Amino acid sequence: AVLRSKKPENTAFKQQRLPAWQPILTAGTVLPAFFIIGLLFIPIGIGLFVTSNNIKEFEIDYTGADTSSPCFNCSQNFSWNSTSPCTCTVPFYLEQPYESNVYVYYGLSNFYQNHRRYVKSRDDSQLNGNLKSLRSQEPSKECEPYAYHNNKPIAPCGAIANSMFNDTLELFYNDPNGTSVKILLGTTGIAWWTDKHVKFGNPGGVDSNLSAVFQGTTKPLNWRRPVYELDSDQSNNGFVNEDFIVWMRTAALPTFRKLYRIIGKSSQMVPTLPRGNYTLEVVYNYPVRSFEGRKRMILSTISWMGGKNPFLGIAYITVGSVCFFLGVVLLVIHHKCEKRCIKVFNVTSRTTNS
Amino acid sequence: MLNNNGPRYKRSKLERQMNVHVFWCVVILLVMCLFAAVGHWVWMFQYGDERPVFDVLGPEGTDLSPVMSAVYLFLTMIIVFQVLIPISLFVSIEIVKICQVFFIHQDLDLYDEETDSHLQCRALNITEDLGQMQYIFSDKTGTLTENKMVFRRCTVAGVEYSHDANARRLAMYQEMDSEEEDCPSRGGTLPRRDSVTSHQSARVVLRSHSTKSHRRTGSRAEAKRASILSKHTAFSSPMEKDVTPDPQLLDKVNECSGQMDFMRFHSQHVSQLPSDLADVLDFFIALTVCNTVVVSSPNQPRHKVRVRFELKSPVKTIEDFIKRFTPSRLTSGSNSSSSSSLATSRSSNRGCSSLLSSPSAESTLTKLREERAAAAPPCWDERPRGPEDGELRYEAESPDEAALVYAARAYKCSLVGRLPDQVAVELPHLGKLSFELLHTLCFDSTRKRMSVVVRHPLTDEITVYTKGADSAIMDLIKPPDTGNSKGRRQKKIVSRTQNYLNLYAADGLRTLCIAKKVLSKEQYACWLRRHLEAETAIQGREELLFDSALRLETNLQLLGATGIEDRLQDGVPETIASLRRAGLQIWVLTGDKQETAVNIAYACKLLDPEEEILTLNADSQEACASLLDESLHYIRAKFLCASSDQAAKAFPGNSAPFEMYPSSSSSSASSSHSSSPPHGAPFLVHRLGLVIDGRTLAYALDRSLEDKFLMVARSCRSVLCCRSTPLQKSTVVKLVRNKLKVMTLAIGDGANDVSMIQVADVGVGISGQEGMQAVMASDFALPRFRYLEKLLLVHGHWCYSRLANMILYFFYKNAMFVALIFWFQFYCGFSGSAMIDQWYLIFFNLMFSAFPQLITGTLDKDVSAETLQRLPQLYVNGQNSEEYKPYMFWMNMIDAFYQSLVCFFIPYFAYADSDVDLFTWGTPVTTLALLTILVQLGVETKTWIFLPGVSRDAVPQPRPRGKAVGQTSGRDPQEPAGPRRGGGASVPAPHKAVPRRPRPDSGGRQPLRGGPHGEGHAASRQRRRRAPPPRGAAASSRQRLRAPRRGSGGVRAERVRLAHLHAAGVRRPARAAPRRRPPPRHVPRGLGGGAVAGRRPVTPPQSLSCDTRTPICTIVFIKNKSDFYCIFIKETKGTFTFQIFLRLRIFFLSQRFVSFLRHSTKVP
Repeated sequence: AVLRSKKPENTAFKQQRLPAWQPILTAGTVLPAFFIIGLLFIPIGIGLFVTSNNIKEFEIDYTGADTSSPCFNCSQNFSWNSTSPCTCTVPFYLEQPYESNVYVYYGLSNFYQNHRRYVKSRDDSQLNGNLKSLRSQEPSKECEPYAYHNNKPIAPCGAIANSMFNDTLELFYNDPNGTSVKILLGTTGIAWWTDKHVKFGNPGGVDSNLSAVFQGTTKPLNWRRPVYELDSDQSNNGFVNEDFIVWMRTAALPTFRKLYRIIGKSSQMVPTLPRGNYTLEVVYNYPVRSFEGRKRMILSTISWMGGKNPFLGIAYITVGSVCFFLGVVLLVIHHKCEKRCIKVFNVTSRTTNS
Repeated sequence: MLNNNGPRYKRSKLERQMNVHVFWCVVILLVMCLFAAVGHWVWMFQYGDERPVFDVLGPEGTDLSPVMSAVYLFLTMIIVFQVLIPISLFVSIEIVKICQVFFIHQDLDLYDEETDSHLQCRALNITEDLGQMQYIFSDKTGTLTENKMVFRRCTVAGVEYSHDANARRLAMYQEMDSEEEDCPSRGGTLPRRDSVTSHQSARVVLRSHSTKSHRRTGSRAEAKRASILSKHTAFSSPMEKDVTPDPQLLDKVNECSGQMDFMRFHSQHVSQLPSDLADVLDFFIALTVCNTVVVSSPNQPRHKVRVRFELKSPVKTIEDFIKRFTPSRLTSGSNSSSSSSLATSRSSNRGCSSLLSSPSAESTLTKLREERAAAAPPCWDERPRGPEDGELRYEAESPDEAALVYAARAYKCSLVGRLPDQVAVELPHLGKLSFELLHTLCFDSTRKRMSVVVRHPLTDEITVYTKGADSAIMDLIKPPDTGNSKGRRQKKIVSRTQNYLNLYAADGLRTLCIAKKVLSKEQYACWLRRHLEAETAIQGREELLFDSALRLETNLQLLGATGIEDRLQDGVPETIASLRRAGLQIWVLTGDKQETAVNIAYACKLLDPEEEILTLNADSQEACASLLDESLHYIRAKFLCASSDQAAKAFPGNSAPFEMYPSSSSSSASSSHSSSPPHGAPFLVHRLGLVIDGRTLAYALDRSLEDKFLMVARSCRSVLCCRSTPLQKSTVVKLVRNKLKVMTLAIGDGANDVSMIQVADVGVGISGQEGMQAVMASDFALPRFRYLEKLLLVHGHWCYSRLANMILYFFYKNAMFVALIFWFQFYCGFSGSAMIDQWYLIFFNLMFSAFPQLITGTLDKDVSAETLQRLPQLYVNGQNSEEYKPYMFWMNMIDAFYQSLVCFFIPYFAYADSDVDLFTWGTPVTTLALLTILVQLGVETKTWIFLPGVSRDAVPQPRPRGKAVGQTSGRDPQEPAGPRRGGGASVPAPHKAVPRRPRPDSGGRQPLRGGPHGEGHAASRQRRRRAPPPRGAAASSRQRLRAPRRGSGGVRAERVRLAHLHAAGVRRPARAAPRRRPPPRHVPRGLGGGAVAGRRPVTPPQSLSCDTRTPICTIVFIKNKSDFYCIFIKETKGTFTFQIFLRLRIFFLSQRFVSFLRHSTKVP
């Protein structure tokens, strides 16, 4: 029998001769790269910056930390357990008319919604409308210690739901002629579609009688109303309440804002919010003073790049400028040292080859 | 075997370094966890008693104190940050190493056709150590040399016989080694001995006929077979056995023996023979007789022969002497075993063969004479013995002896039998003669010679034949009496021989001098008496015998000298030179005697004739100590005062490697032991050679002297330890390894190297002739020494740099990823929360970042193989661990933290105070980091490999420009004729860089000048041996040499033309191969085979079906919205199926990203 030769195959792969490209940085490639990056980034940055600047945003802090603040009293006296609502009114003045849709946010500061135990403290199965998690079986262990109250399962369970933001904000436009017009705030469309239709769901389907379904459960400790009374609109009630859904999406950073309402554009002619005096009426329920928190109300328009944030534009402009500047510097250096470098290179190449 | 310890678990230097850094990673992890714990405590503390609503209580509603909470958090953080400990790194390293081993295995350049063996990596875990070697300890015999002694030249009576034909024959072997089986018409390309003169032409035909059988089998396969057949006889490969006689000398031998015979016939006294002819005959008799070679024939096992004739023994007593030396008895031991063969051959009228094959016993002498008269003219050149199986085999103690006996046989002076008391020799014309062997004075290393005392059957004189080292013999030559012509002749002979000896030595040949001495009966009796006393002495027998030998070996008459080549393995000098240029210190530890070792060291350019040599031979501890001190002083006096730039000037060309690991190793070594002198700082290796013998080595390795010895040895460029025992070898390696803290490689082939191989950091075994012991103990087994060059310089470098980069990258990658989470802790109250989804955390190491660096770690090349071999200096990179230094780890970590800061804070600011949720924000951060990590890998990748349809023989070759030439030659030069050729075509031969010598006939520097032909051939042979030049040139020169020998005129003319075309610069494809990328070759798809070579445009995304027929390896780059990229390597042929399917799916990420963007812009 002929022994098979052990000779290796002469393939490019096995002999490590695959065609390859070795990128070598030379002035010819680096300098254009710098310039291209510079020339590309600066316009992008300018575009972003301009876009961001065109976004109108108004922010008002109604925490009531200052004594001069209209909500000072409410903030002083309020805790989770108080029953009587405290209302305060904050006037403000819009200097510019807001043309398109205006988004109303509430903002919280120093609120660590990203705390490890806080983030986990929810039962997604329950929120999805799983009856078992709601009643027959106990809510997930993750909800502890906000799973049971008085031996009744809490719906919705967990710390996130328990700490839901429950201030009520209302906006009034003070007409120049003295009348105060309540601004219509749209409550729907503020949550992700997927959240509302996929992730969250009421037990027993869309048309079920919510109060019957939630029979045998109890409301979270800090809530005023049970979950099936969040809204009169059936499609925005229970677990699919959009305010609830928005809250359940835990914020990434301790200073965050959450979409509260949308002020729809009524007609082409009139701006959504004309410039002038406004009043913010707050039903002050949510205590933040214990953790040095801040509460804000934000009015903002949006653009394709989202809300107002000049950072990206500035970053692009900076990087672009730096690159361009470096390119120029390197070009100068290259131009000045070219001859010398070539000489050096020649010498070395000859010596190595000899 | 007692010298062996059990195998040592070896761990590569890189891994040892890496382990330190893994440990540092643990420390960093703990620090980070501690920091987070403290941070958490502070964070908790600031809220005081009032627990904020987002600080959830424990599951049981328990309220933890800030301190307890911090303790728990510390433990939590260890789990969260555990990615920092690169567990997967260890797995990846193993995978990469296996791939590296695979590629080393597959390297054609490391494949030896002759033995059908390739490099074996027996240790899978120290491939990268190959790139970090600093000291090489090599065995000599069988490692540097082939352990094949080949008779090369000789001088008889002051006349040099250059044996050109023999040299050419050896060159043929060389050629056959380097070239492939070649065309079927090989038989026609036989080298004709074109140096012969007309009257020899008849013989030439005969000879070429007689050697044809061998020539035809001259292909490597046949040679291999032959060598296997003759394997059970040591030192008898065809290369050693067949010596082509020098025509002049052969003539003389014939003439001489003819005259002798004639004279004997006419009963004239033999002394009337012309003295030069007598010397020739004596020379060959000495070669045949003066040895301890045992003869055996395949039909006649040697032990049988022995048993039968054990009756007689050398002269043991005076009585014996008297009895034996009665005049009545001329010769002894007539052997009638082959008288029958005589009869048959006689009848078959083939006189000459039978004549020679007949045993020449005195009794048959007359018959022989008759027969010769009948069978004139005598045809000497017929092979004396018929078919191969009748051939005698010689078993020698040392290969030199065998070589000499074989050489003598080529001149028809063959040893046909050796018994304890007689040696049967067959001489031309004279037939078989029996020399009565009176004494054998065996070789010893002090005398450096051996002698036999025989009674010459023709002259009936008692003759002493002495063979030994030239230094030993030349002193014992009888001072010639200048008075008469004979004395003058003697003097001339001596001076000429000395002259030639020097030339031989310069040529790296092992020289032996042959001398004789005729004793009168009285002298002999006188000597014998004392000799017998010595033999019978009880005390001090050795010394007495020694003295006795000394007494006998005086006043010798010089017959001649031989030059034997212990053939170096192919490419050994080049390999050593290039390893040395790579900054490797090469020590040779051999068991051989000093002269041999020094000779070989010169031959393989380990020692340079120009450099000084310190020889340390001491008899006692004190002597050794003082010698070492002296050498140290000498070195200091000579070199230390010389400024460093002078030293640099002394070695132009290679300045860097001579500075020996200045910073780390020497300082640490000198600080580690107090006795080392203060001159520890930058240590220069001087142009010095150190030769030390075993005994001195034993003293020097003593605890008290070892530091001094090292001081001396490390300042020498080359160190040669002779006569060292296996244990000493391993002790030396251990000493150097431990004291100098360097990486050591030991290479050897025999069982005596096993301990050294085991001790060294990397042990390399030569899978050669001496069994498998060394291979079994080794980490790597090479077929030849020269493969070490590519193994170290190319594969070692690659393995090291690939692995080092990969390890660094791993540290970077994990640190970068973990740091993201760490920064986030500042924004989540140090609660141990992560913005990265759990799945991403799990899959980060498992999938997202697992494969790219595996590919880079396997295939990346920082420098091409050609460059690495051309510039061995690049190896210093690995020696100094420049790819992986401790500071690099820290720089790497800092870089990782910096990059993660950027990757964290750009999204942070971009999403500051927005309604982004935890994972919607975390995902861009992760994506950004992942991309950055990949881009970083891209930046670190030195070579981007494209696999756009590499077909099987997609050795990317441009089509030859001289295509027409290839076609007319009837053989497409493009077509790979063999593996070597194919390999050579794309990867230039390893020795490409060696500058080509001038053309052979333009008078290159040649120490020995034979005839004009001889010179040319010797030169070309030498050149070929030293450095296979680039293919094109080699082919042309070879063809030029061979062309005139072609049988057919037409083909010959064609060849010549071709050769000239090549010489004129029509390049073969190989010449263009070093260009990295060939010009694209656009071939329509679907042609199969090699049609898909060259660069094809990137396959469109949909045709992921890599056409399975044509390409062997394909990587398809696919860019569509869901797949980031997909590398798809598919090999359809062969057992090895290597499929890497890398899909970095940022589909998920991008979906989230897009949806997040949309939602953040509040477009529901």
